[in-house]
Amino acid sequence: MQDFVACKVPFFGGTEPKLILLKRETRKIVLVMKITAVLLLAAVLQVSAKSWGQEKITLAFDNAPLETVLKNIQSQANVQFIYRTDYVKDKKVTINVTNANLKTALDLCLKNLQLTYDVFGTNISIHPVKKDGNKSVAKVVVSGNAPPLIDVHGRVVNEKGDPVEGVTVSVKGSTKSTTTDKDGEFSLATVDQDAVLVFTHVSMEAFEVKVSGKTDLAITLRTKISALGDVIVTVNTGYQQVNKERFVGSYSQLDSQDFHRRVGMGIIERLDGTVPGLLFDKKGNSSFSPIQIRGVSTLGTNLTSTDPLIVVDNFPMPLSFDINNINTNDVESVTVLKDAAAASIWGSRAGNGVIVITTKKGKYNQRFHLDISSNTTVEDKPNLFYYKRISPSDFIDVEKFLFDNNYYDADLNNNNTYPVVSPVVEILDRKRMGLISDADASSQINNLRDNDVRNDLNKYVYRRAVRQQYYIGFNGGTNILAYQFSIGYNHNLNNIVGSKPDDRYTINTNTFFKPIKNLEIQTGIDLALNNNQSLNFQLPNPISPYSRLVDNDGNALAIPYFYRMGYIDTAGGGKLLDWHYRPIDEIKNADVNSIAKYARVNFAINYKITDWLSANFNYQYQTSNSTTRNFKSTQAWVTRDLINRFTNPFQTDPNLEYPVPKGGILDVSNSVLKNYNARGGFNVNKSFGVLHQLVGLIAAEISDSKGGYLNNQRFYGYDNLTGGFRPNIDYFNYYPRTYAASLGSVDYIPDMNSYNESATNRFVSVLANLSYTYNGRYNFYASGRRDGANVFGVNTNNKWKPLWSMGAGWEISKEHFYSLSWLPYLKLRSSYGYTGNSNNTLSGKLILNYSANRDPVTSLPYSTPGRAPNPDLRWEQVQIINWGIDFQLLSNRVFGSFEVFRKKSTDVIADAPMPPSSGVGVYTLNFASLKTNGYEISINSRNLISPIEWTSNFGLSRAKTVITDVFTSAGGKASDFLDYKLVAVPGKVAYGIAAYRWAGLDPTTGDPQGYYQKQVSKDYLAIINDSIQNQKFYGSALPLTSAFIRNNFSWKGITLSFNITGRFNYYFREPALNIDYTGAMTGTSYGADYYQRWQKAGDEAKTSVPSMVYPVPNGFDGRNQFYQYAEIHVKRADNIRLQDVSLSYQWTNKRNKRIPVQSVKFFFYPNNLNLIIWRASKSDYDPDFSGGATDVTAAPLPKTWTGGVTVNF
Amino acid sequence: MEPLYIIKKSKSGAQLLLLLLPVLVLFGCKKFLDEKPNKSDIVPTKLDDLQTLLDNSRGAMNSRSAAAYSELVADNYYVTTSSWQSMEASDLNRVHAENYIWGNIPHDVYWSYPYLGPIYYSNIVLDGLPDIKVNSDEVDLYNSIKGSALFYRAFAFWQIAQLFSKPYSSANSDDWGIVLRLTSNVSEKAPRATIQQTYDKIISDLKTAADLLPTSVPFATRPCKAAAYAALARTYLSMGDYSNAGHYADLALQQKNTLVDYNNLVPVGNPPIPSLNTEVIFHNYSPTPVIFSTTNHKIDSNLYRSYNANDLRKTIFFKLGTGTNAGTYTFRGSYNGTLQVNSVFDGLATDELFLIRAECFARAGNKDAALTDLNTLMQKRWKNGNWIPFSASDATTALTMILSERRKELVFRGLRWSDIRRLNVEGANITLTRVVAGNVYTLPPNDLRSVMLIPSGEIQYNSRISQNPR
Repeated sequence: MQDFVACKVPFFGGTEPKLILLKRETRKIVLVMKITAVLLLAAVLQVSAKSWGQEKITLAFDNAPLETVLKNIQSQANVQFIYRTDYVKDKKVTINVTNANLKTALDLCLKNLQLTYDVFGTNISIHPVKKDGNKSVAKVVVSGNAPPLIDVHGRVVNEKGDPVEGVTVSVKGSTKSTTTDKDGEFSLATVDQDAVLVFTHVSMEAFEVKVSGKTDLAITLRTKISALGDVIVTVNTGYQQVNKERFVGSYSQLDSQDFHRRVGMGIIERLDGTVPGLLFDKKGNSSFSPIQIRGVSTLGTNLTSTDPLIVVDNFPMPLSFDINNINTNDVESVTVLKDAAAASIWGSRAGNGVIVITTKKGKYNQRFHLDISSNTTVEDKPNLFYYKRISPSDFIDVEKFLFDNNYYDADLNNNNTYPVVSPVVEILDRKRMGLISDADASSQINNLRDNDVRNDLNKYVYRRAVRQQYYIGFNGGTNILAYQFSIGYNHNLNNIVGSKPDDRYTINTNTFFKPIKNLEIQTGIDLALNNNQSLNFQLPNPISPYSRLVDNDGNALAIPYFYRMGYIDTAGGGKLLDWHYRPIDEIKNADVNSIAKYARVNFAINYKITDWLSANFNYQYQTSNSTTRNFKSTQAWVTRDLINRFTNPFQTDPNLEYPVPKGGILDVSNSVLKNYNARGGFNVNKSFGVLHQLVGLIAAEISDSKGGYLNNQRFYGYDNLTGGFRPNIDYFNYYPRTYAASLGSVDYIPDMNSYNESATNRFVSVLANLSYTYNGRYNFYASGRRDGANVFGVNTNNKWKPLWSMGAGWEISKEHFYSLSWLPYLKLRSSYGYTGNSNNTLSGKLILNYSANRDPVTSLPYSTPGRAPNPDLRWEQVQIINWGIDFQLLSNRVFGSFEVFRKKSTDVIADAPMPPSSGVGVYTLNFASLKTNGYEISINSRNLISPIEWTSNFGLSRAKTVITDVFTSAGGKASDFLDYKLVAVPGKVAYGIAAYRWAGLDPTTGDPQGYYQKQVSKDYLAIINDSIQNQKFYGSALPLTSAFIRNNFSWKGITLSFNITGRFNYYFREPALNIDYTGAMTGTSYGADYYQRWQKAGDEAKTSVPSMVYPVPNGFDGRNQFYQYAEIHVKRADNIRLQDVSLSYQWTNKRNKRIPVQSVKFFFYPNNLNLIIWRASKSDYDPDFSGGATDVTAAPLPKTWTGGVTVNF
Repeated sequence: MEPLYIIKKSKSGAQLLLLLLPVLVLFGCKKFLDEKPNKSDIVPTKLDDLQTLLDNSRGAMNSRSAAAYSELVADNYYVTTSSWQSMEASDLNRVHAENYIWGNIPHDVYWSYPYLGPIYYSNIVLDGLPDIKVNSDEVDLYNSIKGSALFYRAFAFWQIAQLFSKPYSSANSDDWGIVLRLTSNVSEKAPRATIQQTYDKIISDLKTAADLLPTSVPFATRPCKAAAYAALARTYLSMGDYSNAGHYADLALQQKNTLVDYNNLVPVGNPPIPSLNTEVIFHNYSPTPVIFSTTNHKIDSNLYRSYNANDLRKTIFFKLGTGTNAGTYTFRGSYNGTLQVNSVFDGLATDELFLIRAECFARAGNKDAALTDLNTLMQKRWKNGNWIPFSASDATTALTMILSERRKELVFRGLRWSDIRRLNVEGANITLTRVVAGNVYTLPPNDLRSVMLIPSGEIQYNSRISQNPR
């Protein structure tokens, strides 16, 4: 009786195909078996001839642990011992032999330990001496009440059907065990008929099976990639799955469990605070690159991307594609490649590091799995009260003061554009003109004093955002087919009241198929459909803090917008449409729908030419197509405004009266992106004897993004009911704008029709790598890659960039001299090499860029020169040196790594500022060099195992990037370091922050004072232009050091984990009051520090907020900038915070087989808690979300709360 | 054993093919990588390509003059204290407010505009021409392109020279002129030429251009022969070389001498003078700062009062303010018409040429010829029926008259500042005065501040240049 375990073929319906396939399989198996048998025999003979009797083993131990002795033998004799830990535990050996052969040594060694051994090639299994060594025929032994005992016989094969020799077959819970012979056969006598047999082997995955009374078993084991170790970890570089033990590069991997610990957020966001060496910047008003892997390697101007390369499965995802098209639930693992050995194989796009995303795949010989999950995330409203402002009532007093000093006169007198003035100024103006009485004005103004627009926004505009995710996925596999299929649905409601939902549907499927031996075909289809109807609401700026959005009866109220309220109330004399702007109505009337479709189709074919050489070909096509329809009815302000602006009241012909037709406006835009990649090459995996192993690949690939376009169209006079619109809009003739005459110099009806084909980016690469392992403990690695891109106008030679890397690893703990029993695993590794950054848009020749439109006056085509050509431009390259130690401690309860690295970016491309007389403002050249030094520590531990399991993950990393040299010597003023941006000044840290030195307030005037040439000074312009040496340079605005510690506690299915993150060695700038009253014009109301301003002599002792004066006296140039960027506002940003908490309960079905459910998991996950546990300096502001001196709206991300359930069948 | 054989056979086939793949990619990719990234990118290979660069009218060639800066510091207008204060209080507009009182903040954009626009574009064209194969039937086009590039560049050089170097005079000729940028190679650094070299280059380029340019062009945005002559007249006039100025004004007027009769204009439209009208030889303008907005600037009241009641320019050029602006006047007489409503027109037009020739006749003592030219122009500016020709007893009186009418005719044409400097060199003793919040600021004749500061960006990144003294 044959019982195929883990070998069911559920996927094929019908009988015919299955039969045929099986027949063919059988024939092949027989053939293969014959060949294998011959080969195996030869191998065994060879090994025997070589191994036995020839080795010279020298041992000298006194009462040493058996394990140590065995390790020693292992290192001298090139053999592998296989045993269960409990066999050798606590066994001590005293032995003293010189130049003995293996047999003698082993016999001596195991003599008095009740142990014996069997030899299979170079594998030696050690097991207890069998009391009952005779093979017995199947018989049932009944003894007392104990269950009947049976004799079990069986055969073990691998997934190809080849017999596996040397598998240890043991009975769970007893010491009974045996090993399979060269035919893969084994037998065990007197086994409990309900016993569980455990199959273990060095190169096969462990497997358990319940005997259940059967006496004849056929077992199929799956090959593992690695040979030893508890868990087989492979590193996915996007090109290869490399065994962790053999990998010499630096990487961090979030496995499925770690990745899915965080829910309700995007793929990349989940890496925040969980991967050492990866830094996220969340500052407002910042031009830092949002994700950094080990510091910065490029200057991050628009010329080269600062984003890491994102690889999905096999191929890079171009930046133009939205990574969110990949359903997070489909992600299996994410790997961050950090050093040259890991990333260099990605060549000229890997300069900023590589993030490899691997999606879930079906596995061969795996039973059918079905996962259903659902979760809901609720996000808090934005905190509008985060920035402390002066009360609206006090703001009104500021406006009154300014009005009395004629501050608003220019605007009030502007009868051309009628700029916005606030309601209070409007009232004061009417009072001044005598249109209303003083008492009326006061009462109107006093009515406004109690309003706060933020209350209205909270009530009428913002709501909690809700995001829901649903997911069904199943996978499974037979020995020739593996499949994975999933469907996802996301339903998001954003935080604007009344906004419609965004929906996303995803389908992901992939199949591996082995139609014939040695050939594997993989196909994958990934589809996403986004139906977005949500709208972004931007509060108009300026808006008075006392504005109301809704009146007492719930009607939407108008606020001044674009034009003065006093003007639009009276303009037009009935000819015009209502010109008021009502924010609430704008939300209500919005009609935006954008549909985006994404498809990724891939195909791979892998053919095993010999057992060590395979050829493969991969192809991927990606496309995304999005259509946005934005209908703006005559209810929408934009439509009314356009119609009004062009209305000609002197015309009676309606066509001439309304050049912009009275009716809706429909904007349609359609964009298509296309990208294809293809790669072909060979993979080598060959062992020479037991000592040498070679793994490598050689490949060539091309990628092309071409054929995409963006098409915008506008239809004026669109009727949403009938679909009719007005053709022949006159875009070419100037129309007198009768109302609000000049709003800039363009007086044409806006022509929103355009068509642009997207840029073609092409890459060609050839690459190869080779890793050589000697004796399982020395690893050498080398890779090389040559990239070409379609850089325009340069010689072919300059289009190519060769990049290479090499590395080595040494597993010291495998050496025979190694005897640190408390440190059972120790590996050293090091790598060196190059990655790069490329840019296809730069040119070596002068190019002219033809304009899509013709000149409106002459109707002639015209062109603009492209970037000033630089034929000497070289590609950026990043040199990375990495040293690492991997270790395991305390019976492998603690494992981790320590790494030190140095990165050097040279030929970094940037726009150098040029004297205007040169003809260009900037010139693109290889501008600067950067140097980054740092280290990373990663420690994972199992602190408690039972009854409560407590594990910890700790990561600490430091990366400091310093600019080493820069093309232009200019720069280095204190004012260069004001904003959150990368400043290239030699010798300074890349994201420097500096401030003006502060000398307190002038006791007589309340003016801020600084230092210029060591003297207390109020020459603000001189201070602003002063060298950084004389002012104050603090350091980095981004954390140089960051850390996280995540603790997981599990007890009976309940898991609680929380992540605490820390960021250190950096500074931030607190927002500071605008002390020159320009805020009153732009509508930003004043911060609460307004109350602390200097008002009379003596105040300088209590405050550092300067006096505010209007009209501005002479010599006030730069006064505001000096104050806002003075050192009093810079603070140390270091902090430790509780980032998130995850609580889950998992019920696992252990007993009831009738319920098909395997496990059910409920989880609850609050994120963005931003609970600061410790901070270096006291502040009202969260340093990580700082907007700098001027962006007062920057606030921490709202908290989110996610709950959900996952069911596994 | 047949299956094994098949496997073996296909293996070697696949092996061969796949081994060849990297090789194929290496050799086959040359063409693949020759694809240009953007469709609209062209390496100029034809004369037409270069012509498109010169036809970039709104982006560079006719729109990047520094003339508005010269109006900003000249005396055609004033602003009220409150306007000035609100500009002074704004980071964006302080530079205008400070330059209004000839303060020490350099006005970056007006130095950059000509260099980044017409000068750079012209240099690209002039550097590109030798690489282009010219067919025998393209000689005219070649000449026209080369002449145009020389013209645009010289025209812009002149404008910069009026602001950033001292006025031309024999005493100043070895003083610092401007950066004579003659190459499109941006990495080449250039020093300042002397004033003599500056004007020599402008004149020689304009003369070459005059030889190369066609007599007529389809649009006034392209220069023609008359434009080159007119520019020469303007340049010589600014140098005080009146015989040459008169000579070239005459050559230009021989090409084109039509005038607009202001009686035919309707003084209600805004603006009332059409763009590209029959007087315009070459269309050019300069973007203006906010100080010239209709609410900020007010016409100097003495200037306004100097117009005769029968002078149509009084109503066509100026508009009475309303509301709080009541009683003051704003300028609306731009030759840009509706094309660039708020910009200073500093192109070349026949009215300027009549005035140049008249002035040169008067300075040469030819009173009658001078008055003829003046009257030819003024008759078109005077109300029909009220026209009385100008008359003078001698050439000196005629000159005074002509200079007065020049001042009134060429309001906001970017010429007043050049005239002030030229006339002060001759001893006219024109002092400019501003009053802001009760403070009086004056700019005496030939003051150091009548040469503008070079922007810090130029000083910082061009090691071979020195700042104008203060």
